[in-house]
Amino acid sequence: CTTPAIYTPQQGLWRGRLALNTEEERPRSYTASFELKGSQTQGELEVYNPLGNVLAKLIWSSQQAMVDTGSERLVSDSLDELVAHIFGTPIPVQALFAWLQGDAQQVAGWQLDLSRYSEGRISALREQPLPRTSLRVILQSPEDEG
Amino acid sequence: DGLQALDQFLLNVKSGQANFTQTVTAPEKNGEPGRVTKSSGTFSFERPGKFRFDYSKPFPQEIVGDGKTLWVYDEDLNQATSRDQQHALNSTPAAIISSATSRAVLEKDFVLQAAPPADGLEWVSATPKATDGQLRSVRMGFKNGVLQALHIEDNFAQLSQLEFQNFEANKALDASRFHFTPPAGADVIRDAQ
Repeated sequence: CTTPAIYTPQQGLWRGRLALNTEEERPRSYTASFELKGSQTQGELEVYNPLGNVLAKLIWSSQQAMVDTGSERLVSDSLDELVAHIFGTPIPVQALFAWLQGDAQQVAGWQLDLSRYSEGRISALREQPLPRTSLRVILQSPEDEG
Repeated sequence: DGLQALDQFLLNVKSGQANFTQTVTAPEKNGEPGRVTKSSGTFSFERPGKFRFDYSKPFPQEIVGDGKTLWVYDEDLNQATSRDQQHALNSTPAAIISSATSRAVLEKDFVLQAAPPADGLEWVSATPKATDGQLRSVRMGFKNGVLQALHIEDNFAQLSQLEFQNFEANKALDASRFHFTPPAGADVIRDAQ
């Protein structure tokens, strides 16, 4: 099989695909490609569908966070709160930025696997609290035009 | 004009297969040209309602509409997401190509207008009637009554341009092509959204 592409990180910029699944009676799943810029205190996330259309855009600073789906806008005073609202479950945003840089910061309840980070792969599983949630990310080297 | 070409396509081309290239251009930002992302693969469809996009580059991904369920399978993530096709489809261009059997069917979801010919193609613009969708406008380019181009602009002015090559119209396609079975071990999620 093809040798896995090696991921070369670039400061403050990540592109790739994510799959976030929550196992409730009505399972919710978010699979999309994305472009993330910045850091936890200041940044922007764009989420795309396979055809390349922008599904939603998140912009945040330390004081405020906003999501724009093109037809509606939602403002919140914290990125964590906004992310929890969008994905229906809290996601450790601060830790996520650490994971994206290959730093295996531990978070209560989450099992983290950065063993394939050199291929740009991150996976994290939260057993507690319910609903059981899995987050998987595949990073693409930013300058790889695809 | 474009509308006649669309009618010809909807009525005469019952199925088809083509290669496609997809060029996504992000809007210009503070004077800087938007980033361009290219992908490619094969596309096939059969009226009513069946279609399939097989992306090979930059990563393998399959989108299959079997008429009832829309599947998106990401090979690297080994995850298959299924959702009700009708719910996901009526405001997306794939509906235009695959499920519509007449212009009237399309006009339920889109305002259709002939657009001036360009690049050797006859054009139709389709503006979604739903205001809560993700798309601002869709343009379809035809040559001799066959679809050659599909340009989609979303609410953020990002432009996704699909160009079709070696379009084989009315090709007999095996029914299994529009049937998706998740590979063993894949995460299968029925998306309730």
